Amino acid sequence: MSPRTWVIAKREFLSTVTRKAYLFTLVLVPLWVSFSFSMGSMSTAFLSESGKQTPRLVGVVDGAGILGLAPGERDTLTRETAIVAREEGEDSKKSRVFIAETFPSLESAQQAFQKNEISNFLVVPADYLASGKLDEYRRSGGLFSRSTSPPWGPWLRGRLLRGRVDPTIVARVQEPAETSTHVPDDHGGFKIFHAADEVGSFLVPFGFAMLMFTTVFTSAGYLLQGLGEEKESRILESLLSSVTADELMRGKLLGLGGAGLLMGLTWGTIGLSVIVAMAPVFLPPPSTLALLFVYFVLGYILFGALALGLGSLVNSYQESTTISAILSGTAALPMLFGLSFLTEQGASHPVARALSLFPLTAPISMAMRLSQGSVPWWEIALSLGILALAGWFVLRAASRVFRVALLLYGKTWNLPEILRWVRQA
Amino acid sequence: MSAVLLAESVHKSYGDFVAVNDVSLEVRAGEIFALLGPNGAGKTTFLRMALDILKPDSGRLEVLGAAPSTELKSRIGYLPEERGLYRKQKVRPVLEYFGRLKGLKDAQARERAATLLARLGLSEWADRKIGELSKGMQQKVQVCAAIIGRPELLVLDEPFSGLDPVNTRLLEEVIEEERKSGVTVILCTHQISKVEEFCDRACVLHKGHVVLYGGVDELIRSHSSEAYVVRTRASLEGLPGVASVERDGLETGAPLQRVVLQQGFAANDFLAALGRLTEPVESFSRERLPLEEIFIQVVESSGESVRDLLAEGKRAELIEQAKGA
Repeated sequence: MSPRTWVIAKREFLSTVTRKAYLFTLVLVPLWVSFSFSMGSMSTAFLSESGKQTPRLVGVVDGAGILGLAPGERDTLTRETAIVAREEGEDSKKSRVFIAETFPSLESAQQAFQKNEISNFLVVPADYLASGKLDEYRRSGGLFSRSTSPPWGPWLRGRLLRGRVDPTIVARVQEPAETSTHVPDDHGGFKIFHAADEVGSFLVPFGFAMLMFTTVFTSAGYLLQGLGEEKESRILESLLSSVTADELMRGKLLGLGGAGLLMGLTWGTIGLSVIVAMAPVFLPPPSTLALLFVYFVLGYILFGALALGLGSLVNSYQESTTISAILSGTAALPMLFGLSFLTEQGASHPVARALSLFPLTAPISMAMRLSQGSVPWWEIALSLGILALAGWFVLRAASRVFRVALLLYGKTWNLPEILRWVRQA
Repeated sequence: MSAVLLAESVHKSYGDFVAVNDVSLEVRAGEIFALLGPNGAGKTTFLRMALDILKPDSGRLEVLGAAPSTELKSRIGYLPEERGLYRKQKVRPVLEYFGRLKGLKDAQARERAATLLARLGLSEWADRKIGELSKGMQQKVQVCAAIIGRPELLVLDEPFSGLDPVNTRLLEEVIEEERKSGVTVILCTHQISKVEEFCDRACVLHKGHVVLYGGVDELIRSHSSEAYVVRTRASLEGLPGVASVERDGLETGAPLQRVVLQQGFAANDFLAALGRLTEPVESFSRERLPLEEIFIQVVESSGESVRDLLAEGKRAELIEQAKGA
């Protein structure tokens, strides 16, 4: 690496990290994310507390007379709503309590419902035992409103069996299993997978994928923007009389990659600190973090070189933003499959594997899958190999295009011409 | 004098278009060399090859005693025709950056930038953004960037464009100072009067070929006709060897007479005849064709018209001067 490359890298780095836009992004994004999370946590806590303090009143109309409840009599139903945290190694569960009051008729229940005295009610028809059909009335039929319904099924099972079989059997029929899941640990044994970890296994991979996406494309965006400005201001010929096109390209990649890395490390450190402080169990192992770093570097080289090669072909900053959008859209493709990638089956699905091997989508796919764990080593090695090879090839090709196209202004190109440069330059 | 730049049969094409065709020339150490030619003649391509921005397809090119290479870039200063600087950045850091790219240490770059800014009257603008400066000032900053690395070879492409007469004079002084300190200068310009004024030797490129090459005085002499200009009241028609006489009727006092001698008649014999006249001879000189006229003749001999081009260049120059004034 020549001293001139370092001079360029230093200038690109310093002129980027001292920009107001960069500093705002560096500081404001973590603040905004923290604010959003705190607001979300506060509202969850508020709802949870309020739900616990005021049990919700619901109604039941026993048309079949099988529930053993007299009109006006009340019973309690409890639904576990969420596993919100880990306390002393155990999942800490939140629950919502419902008080079921029996109504003599459908009309009386409807009146209570319309007066907002009850939030839901269940009608058990006379032929229930034969048909198994029930009618539930609630305020809305939305997808998420189901979770606010009382746990009618287990409650009905309990009511039907009460007095007929042993209460412990009734309890098991109501709640047949509380399964502990065991997964391989780092020492060849097994550890209990706590349900709370599922939250981490969703948020952490997504967080890392977003972090990598943002930092890689912030850097690539600055590369495109800088090159666009230099082409517009016609400074390149002066620069090329002092340095080679390769030195210029390497210096830019290094300097702006450093700026992206600084942003990623800052955000990553804040994120990891929050995880360590609040839920260390979500922290990915150091080997995963090291792999994520390698994916960042290789991903940045690939996208940075693409940005510079394509950026040297355009004549203005406006044109370069179009390229930036196309590149980032392609890289973000794995996020479209986001949820399905974060299940065991999804992570090993052929689509997930293909996107992990395709160089343009590999960094984000792997960021999501690695943070989730359980990616075969050969897949990681193959994906890294292909990504490194693609980065090397694109770097060479971009360097050739960059060398030829840099000083030619106002010309439109076609693919055969560009390929000729790649072959001949 | 040793050659600072040596080209032998240099050739460069872009696809089917031949930009530089079999160019051979030499730029000697310590001289100011003019590289001339109409737009598209191949000057910029030739210079880019000398600066190792482009590679020649064939031929031999040597700069400062070696083939163009990255290592030589720090010994060459270049003011390109396509001007450009970081408009959103301040003058001083931009100059220091160019100094660092030319191999100066941080402290050297700072010191050199300050010296040059003072020399070109830009000290008070050093901490202003380049975009806030006038075109002429930006041009001077660009000149500073070209010479900040203390080059051995300085290539100036249209250095006077955009400058008012005062700053043109200032830049002429700077170029002269550089030459006196041993720097070899290659000057590309459409202002051919500057070439006569400044340059030791010149090369005219046209369609990639060298069409004129040599010392400026020698070129002018060799392209001048066998005519003499004499200022006297005497009638010259009857003198021995005189083929024709044209008299300038506009002059007051002794008229200026353009005398063409018969082929083969010696100038010394004509001078001796003038000495025998009873009327005094106030001046006698060989007619000298301006370099601009020679340039036009040479280029037009290939069927091209460059008068419009030059007129356009001259008009633009006058407009710039008027703006500056």
